[in-house]
Amino acid sequence: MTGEPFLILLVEDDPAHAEIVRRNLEDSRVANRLVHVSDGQEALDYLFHQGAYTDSEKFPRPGMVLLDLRLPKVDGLEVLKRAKADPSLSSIPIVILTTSATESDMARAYECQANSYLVKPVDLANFTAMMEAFGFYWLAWNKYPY
Amino acid sequence: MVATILELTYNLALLVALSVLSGFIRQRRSHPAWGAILQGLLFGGAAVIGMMKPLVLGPGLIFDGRSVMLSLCGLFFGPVAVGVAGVIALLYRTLLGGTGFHMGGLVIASSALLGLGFHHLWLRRGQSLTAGRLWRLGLLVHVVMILLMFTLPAGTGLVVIKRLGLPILLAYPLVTVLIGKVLASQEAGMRSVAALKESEAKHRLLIENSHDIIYTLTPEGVFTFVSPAWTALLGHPINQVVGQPFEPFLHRDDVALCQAWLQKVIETGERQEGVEYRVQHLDGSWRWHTSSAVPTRNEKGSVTGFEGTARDITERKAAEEALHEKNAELERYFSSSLDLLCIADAGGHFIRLNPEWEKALGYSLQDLEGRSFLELVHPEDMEGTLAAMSKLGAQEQVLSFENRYRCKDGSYRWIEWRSQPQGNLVYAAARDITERKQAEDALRSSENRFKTMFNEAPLGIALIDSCTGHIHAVNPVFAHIAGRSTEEMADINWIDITHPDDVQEDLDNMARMNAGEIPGFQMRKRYLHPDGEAVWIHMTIAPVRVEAHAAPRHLCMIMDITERNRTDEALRESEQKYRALFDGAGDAIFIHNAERMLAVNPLACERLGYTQPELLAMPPSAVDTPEQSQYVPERTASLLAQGHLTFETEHQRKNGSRVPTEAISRMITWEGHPAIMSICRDITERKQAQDALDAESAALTSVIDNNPLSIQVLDREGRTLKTNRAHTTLFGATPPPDYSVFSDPLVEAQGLSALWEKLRVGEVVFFPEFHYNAHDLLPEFPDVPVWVRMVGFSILGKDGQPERNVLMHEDVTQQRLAEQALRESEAQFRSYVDHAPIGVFVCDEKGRYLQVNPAATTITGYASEELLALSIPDTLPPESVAFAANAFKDVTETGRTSAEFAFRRKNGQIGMWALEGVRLSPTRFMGLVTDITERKKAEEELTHSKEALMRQNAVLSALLKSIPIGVFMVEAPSGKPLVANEMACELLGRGILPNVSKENLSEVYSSYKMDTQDRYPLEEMPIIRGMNGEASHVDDMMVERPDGTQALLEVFGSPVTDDQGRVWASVVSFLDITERKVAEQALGESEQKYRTLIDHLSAGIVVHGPDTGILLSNGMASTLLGLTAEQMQGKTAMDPRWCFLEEDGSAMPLSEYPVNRVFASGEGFQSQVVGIRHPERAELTWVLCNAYPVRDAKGWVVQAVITFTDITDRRRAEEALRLTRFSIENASDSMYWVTPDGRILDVNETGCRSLGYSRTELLALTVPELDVYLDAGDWPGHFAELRQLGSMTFESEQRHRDGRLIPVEVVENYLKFGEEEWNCAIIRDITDRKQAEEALHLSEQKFRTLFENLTEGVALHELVRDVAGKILDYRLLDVNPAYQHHTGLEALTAPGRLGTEIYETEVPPFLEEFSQVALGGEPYAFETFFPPLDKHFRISVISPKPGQFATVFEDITDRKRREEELKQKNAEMERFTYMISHDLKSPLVTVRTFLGYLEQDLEQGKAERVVKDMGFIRDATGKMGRLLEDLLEVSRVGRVVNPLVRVTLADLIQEALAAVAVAISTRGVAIQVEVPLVTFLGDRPRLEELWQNLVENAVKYMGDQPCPRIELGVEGTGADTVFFVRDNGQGIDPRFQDKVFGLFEQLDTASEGTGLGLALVKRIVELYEGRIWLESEGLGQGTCFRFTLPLALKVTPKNRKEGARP
Repeated sequence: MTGEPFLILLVEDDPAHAEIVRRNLEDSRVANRLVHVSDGQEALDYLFHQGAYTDSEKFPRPGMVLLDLRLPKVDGLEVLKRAKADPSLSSIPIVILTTSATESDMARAYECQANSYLVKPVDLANFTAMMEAFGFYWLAWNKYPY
Repeated sequence: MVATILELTYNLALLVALSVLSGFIRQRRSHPAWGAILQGLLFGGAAVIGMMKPLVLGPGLIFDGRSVMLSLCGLFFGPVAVGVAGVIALLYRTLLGGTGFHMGGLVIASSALLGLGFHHLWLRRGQSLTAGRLWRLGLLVHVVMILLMFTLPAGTGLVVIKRLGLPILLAYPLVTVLIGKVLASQEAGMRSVAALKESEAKHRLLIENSHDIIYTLTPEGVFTFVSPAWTALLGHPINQVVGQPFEPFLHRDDVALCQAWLQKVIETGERQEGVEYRVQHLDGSWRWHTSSAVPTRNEKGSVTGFEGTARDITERKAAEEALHEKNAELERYFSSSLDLLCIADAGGHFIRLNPEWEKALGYSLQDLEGRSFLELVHPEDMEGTLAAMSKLGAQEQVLSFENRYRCKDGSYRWIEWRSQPQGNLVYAAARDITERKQAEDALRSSENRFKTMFNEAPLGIALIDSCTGHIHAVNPVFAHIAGRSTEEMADINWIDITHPDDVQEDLDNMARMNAGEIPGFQMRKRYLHPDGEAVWIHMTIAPVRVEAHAAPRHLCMIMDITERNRTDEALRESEQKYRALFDGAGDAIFIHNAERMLAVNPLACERLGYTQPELLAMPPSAVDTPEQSQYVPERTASLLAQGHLTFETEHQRKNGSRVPTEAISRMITWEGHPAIMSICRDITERKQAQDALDAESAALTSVIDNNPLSIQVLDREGRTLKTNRAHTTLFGATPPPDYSVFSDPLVEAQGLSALWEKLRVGEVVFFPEFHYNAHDLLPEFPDVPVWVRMVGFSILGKDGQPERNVLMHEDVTQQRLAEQALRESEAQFRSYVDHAPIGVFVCDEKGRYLQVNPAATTITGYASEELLALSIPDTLPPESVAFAANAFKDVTETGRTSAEFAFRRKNGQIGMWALEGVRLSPTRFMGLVTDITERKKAEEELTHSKEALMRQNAVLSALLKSIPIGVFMVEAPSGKPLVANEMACELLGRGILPNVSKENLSEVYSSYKMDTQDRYPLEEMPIIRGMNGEASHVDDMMVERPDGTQALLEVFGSPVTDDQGRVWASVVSFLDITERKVAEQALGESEQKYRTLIDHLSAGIVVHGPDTGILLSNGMASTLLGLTAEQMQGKTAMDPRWCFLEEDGSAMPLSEYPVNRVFASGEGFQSQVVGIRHPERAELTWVLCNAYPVRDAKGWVVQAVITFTDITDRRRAEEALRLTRFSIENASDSMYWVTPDGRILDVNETGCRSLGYSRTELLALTVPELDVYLDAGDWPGHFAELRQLGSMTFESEQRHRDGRLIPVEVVENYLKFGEEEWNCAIIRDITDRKQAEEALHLSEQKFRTLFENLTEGVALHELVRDVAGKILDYRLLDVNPAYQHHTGLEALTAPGRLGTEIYETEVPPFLEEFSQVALGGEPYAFETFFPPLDKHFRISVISPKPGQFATVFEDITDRKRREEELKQKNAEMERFTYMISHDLKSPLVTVRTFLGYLEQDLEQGKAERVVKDMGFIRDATGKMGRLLEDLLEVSRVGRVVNPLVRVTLADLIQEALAAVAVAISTRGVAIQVEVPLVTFLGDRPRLEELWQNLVENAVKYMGDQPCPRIELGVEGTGADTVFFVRDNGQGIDPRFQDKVFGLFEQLDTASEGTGLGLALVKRIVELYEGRIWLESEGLGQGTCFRFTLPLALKVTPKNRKEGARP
């Protein structure tokens, strides 16, 4: 950690869910910054500095990606695959945050080198507990190579 | 209200999720009953969970989804499941208690019963669960539920109804539908899986019933499983096979192959195919099988065994064999066809030809085969031939091609070809059409000739229409005569060019000809040239009929006779002139015919003394003398024959005197009649001169004729004019008149032709002697060679040129023969000298060598050239020069000499030679030299020893007295006795007596010739001969002593010489041999007799002494043992390899050698066979050896006599006989020797065995008794036939002793030994072959039946190659009937067609794969889609023989299609679960979480956030609602079917636009519709939906387009009609275009859709078997959706009956 705010890229098509994540992260008081994109293509554009995100200073490299699986245009798994296939991006932890608890989805995500797989809880208390734990683990305790 | 709905929704969503679990259970259920119970537990649990999280309206008053769950449980899973679920729900509800307890229980019961009721109503009857039905169920259940609310305590009921009635009626049926559809969809999915499983099971059944054997083996090769096909194919029950190793079932020869093959399977780990082996059928027969196998492995990967299939290919094998025979048959046809047949390769080489080619072209087949036929093609035909070949290369037939081939004799033959390319080869049948060609050529040239005749004839020819007079064709001459060009003559009328005065005559003639009165006519007439000039012509007209029905025409031939007419005129003029000449001619002229004179000229009258009238009145013969007139008829005849005649005659004058006359007679026409004109000249003077000459000539001739020299007179050309008798004698005949010596090849061959030229120019030529045999030139000459010396000279004519040549020959044959004999003798002599062992040389008077023979060079050591450069002194050492000079002097003077002196060899050694010199001429001497070096050396040594003897003389004289031999010496030459020793005195009875001279020696010493009364002749007495310098020896001298006793003496006499060699004394020594002589005489006679005998014995005899040394041997012994006498006596070394052999061929130990045996044992032996190996002889010599010992008086063995008799030949014959007998007895064929009368003289062991007789029994039978088909009566004829043919082969049957008939093949051979005839018959048992043939026949039938009845398609192909050998295509050879079934192609017409042809493709399908197999690759099988036939096939490819392959295939399109459908269903299913887990759950998360936030907001009083958070909840529930609706819609497509109706496109579009009208007008979209009248038959709501969704979609994604526009239209017609909906909206990024039709795919998160619209569209299009695609340039470029709806357009009965469901 360099002291700069830790940038999280949230890829979430559902604005409601994005709002939930944002609120939780804000409440968990872990210093961070959140950038929200709403489809797979946009996420790729951001990560690869293309499309509307060519300016790499304005859109810096995220320290972590929170990725939904079901996304318009480009599927979450595809985003995961491409990010992990790129040597400059593969070290970014990508945490899947999705509604699906289907085994096959989980298996595929881990096959594609997802770093963690979180299922969105169906009530606020659990959601908040999970996001807190997430914050502590990934943002306070976990060590990064950069 | 909202909260209520939310609660309900939440409750229901949970249930939906749980229902997914139900599907999981259904997939895993093991037993239907257990499944039902599990489902019951699940649904019961779900109901309980629902009740745990219920909508609580008051204490004990709870509402939840249990009614939905129970009703659906009943509907889908039947009584058991719903019973379980109902009980659980009831129990739990009871537990909860409360006011709603009664109602709750009733609801549970009613829901369960209603569900169950509909289960029986719909599912049991197989009706599908449409959304409508589910909704009806839901509605009914919940109406009942609402009704049941009245059971609630009063007041509560109404409140509840008021609060929940509407939401329940709205939401619960909907949820029922949703969950019901999920369950129904799972049901449908599972039904497909079940179908697939069933198909698999069926497949397995098929495999088990397959004709192929399926087996598994342990790694050790023990069967663990075999399929029933084993029993079907091989007869063994399965239990006898399983658990057994495979080896005992296989043919012994194939076991190793199969083991290796299994090893290969293990090593490669892959399937190995195609091993072929024989397996024994239960009935003992062998079957060919082919097998393929794969290794099976356990988890660790080690091999646990094999799985394989085996196929019976016995029939195939047999078919291959049959094919082979078929080929052989073709081969026979090939070689016996009368046409020219050939097989050539693409490179233009003959590969095979039939023998007819030999006849046609004259080459042998060996010459032709392998040869490039282009070499033989006529150069002019080369181009055409190459063109034909390239045609063949393209696999086209060439059916009538002609070209010329060069025959062996250099001529060309025309060959017509019919060629058929077959891959790389060309099969051609050809025919020699040379004769036809020649006929054609003749015809053509004949036609040309006629054309040429017409055009080039010197006659004018024209073809004229007889009716109209038009000229049709003229030749150039005609036109020329008519004064016009050929073109101008075309279509002119003959009348136009005829002189007007001649037209009428011509017309009259024509009329007569046309009337048939005359066949044609000739006339003279005039043609008019264009310039008006008239030409006279002679015209011949002949009618022609070109064709039967054509207009009559005539041929007009004309000759220009203008010139002739002119000539006639001129002639007439000149006649006058000639008449004058006639009258004034210098010769008498008579014109006459046979009877009378016609005219005579004045000179004739004058010469004969008649007046003209007198002469004219005389018969012509009257002018001749009576002697001459007899010749008149003869002369007249030859005159008529030749036309002219010159002859001499004698005319008689009127006064009787005679006039010698030379007459020239000629045939002339006189006043229109034939006459003779004779011009007669008075030759009186010439006659007189000639008579004189003749006399002279006769004299000369006589001289020539009698000349002893051969004389030949020639004319200028060398032709013989005359020869004399001597010539004839010399050459045997006279040369024929047309023979010219100048071109005589025999003379020319001797190089003498140049001399003829000299002779021709008049020189006298002396020819060298030459050899001549006239017979070589002219067969009429006798075959006598002569040697001739010849002189030639010329007789010059008046012109100074040689006119006659005269050749004079002298016969020198005898002389030459003598010379030749001499030369031959000389040659013989020379040859002798060259090979003589004596050195011969010739030298000149100086001693220089002039000639030397090879022996001379050998003696001197010089080469012949070296010697010729030397003289005799050069080859002598200095001490010999004087000797040589003496000898030379001697020979020069006396002519002969002989001398011995030393000479020096080239290497410096000194040798001695003996020289005989002869003087050949004063300057030539010949020397004969013998190398006597060795002899001289020996002589020298002797001399030395003599000297030594002399020195010991004294010693000798002392000895003389005491020796027991008489020694007597007399003085030479007096004969006076000098010495007589004691013994001499005793033997002679006298000592040295006085007065003894050499004259009375015999008398004095009373010597007699033995056994006679005669005195011993003095001159023979050794003592006298000694005096003459001669040593001698006699043994027949008898001496009578004074006492009267006699003694026979052996006397040795020798001269005694002094140092100078002069004889000064003679000495004799003698001994008494009286007794010995007597014995000797007796012995000698006997010995002589035996020696002669032994030497001529045919046996070899060797006598060994006790030391085993050979004492005696005869010539035969030497010959047999191969040893020289010296070798036998041990004088010359023997080759160590020489040895005796035992009878068995092993080397004989020395101790066993006959001589050693005799000496060792002391016993003799008889008849031992001994072999002799001689190093220089190729073969062993075998002898029969007898040996016996010879004992002395004491019984000691002192000699061994061994005799040898040569038995080599006998032994060889014995061996050959033994071998022959052995092979005959053990031959696999029976052999019979049969006499001409059919008796069996001998038979071999096999013959006896095969017929079951003993030899004795068989020999008592005759052939007809054994042979089924041969009657005794036929036998003589049969034997006669065999005698004629020499050998016969036929099939027959023999009768076994037990009566069985045995089929046999008989080869009979006629043999004749001396006068005896035999039939040597070799008989082979062909039972096996017959059986094999029978089996083949049956098998072939079986195979054919199988092939025909096989359910799989089978096609046999062969590869087709181009000229270069590249594989281009394949050709179908045969197909079975199933072929048609699987491919849909006509089976009957398929064979013979090419792959590209039959499948209508550019490249033959699978060419590479097929050709790999056909070229020896592994057979393999694959499944593929085959586009040309639009079908899926499973294809196995095998190669029955190189270059061919067979495909065994099956149409698996249906199976593939089912699999494909299943795959699609599964994918859809997966998408659906994905959607459930994401999209359906997602709003739940939102709703629940924000409800939490709402609570916080309310607690914390954050009013501004309440609105925002509620907005999130609203959006989420809204989205969920839309999702459910769309889901319903999607599930409806294809399942909910409305009745089919006719509807036009225009109507559909109108309704679609109406449905979207609000959005359109809001966005201000311009709509453009241009559609023709298209009528659909289909489900109207679906079709409406289609357009509606597309328009909606277009409006929705219009983006910020300022002028939004949508076009709807149609392209194309019929089933291919393409509909389109085009907008100019935001377009679609090409990257995501393939996603737009996906279920729940939504590109724009901001839009309201659920992502189902286009998925729905796609489903509808696919329902009508259509296709939909989109075209968009990209973002902002607008989008165009295009689609087809073939099924909706196809108003067919099928469509009408089955509806839109495919």
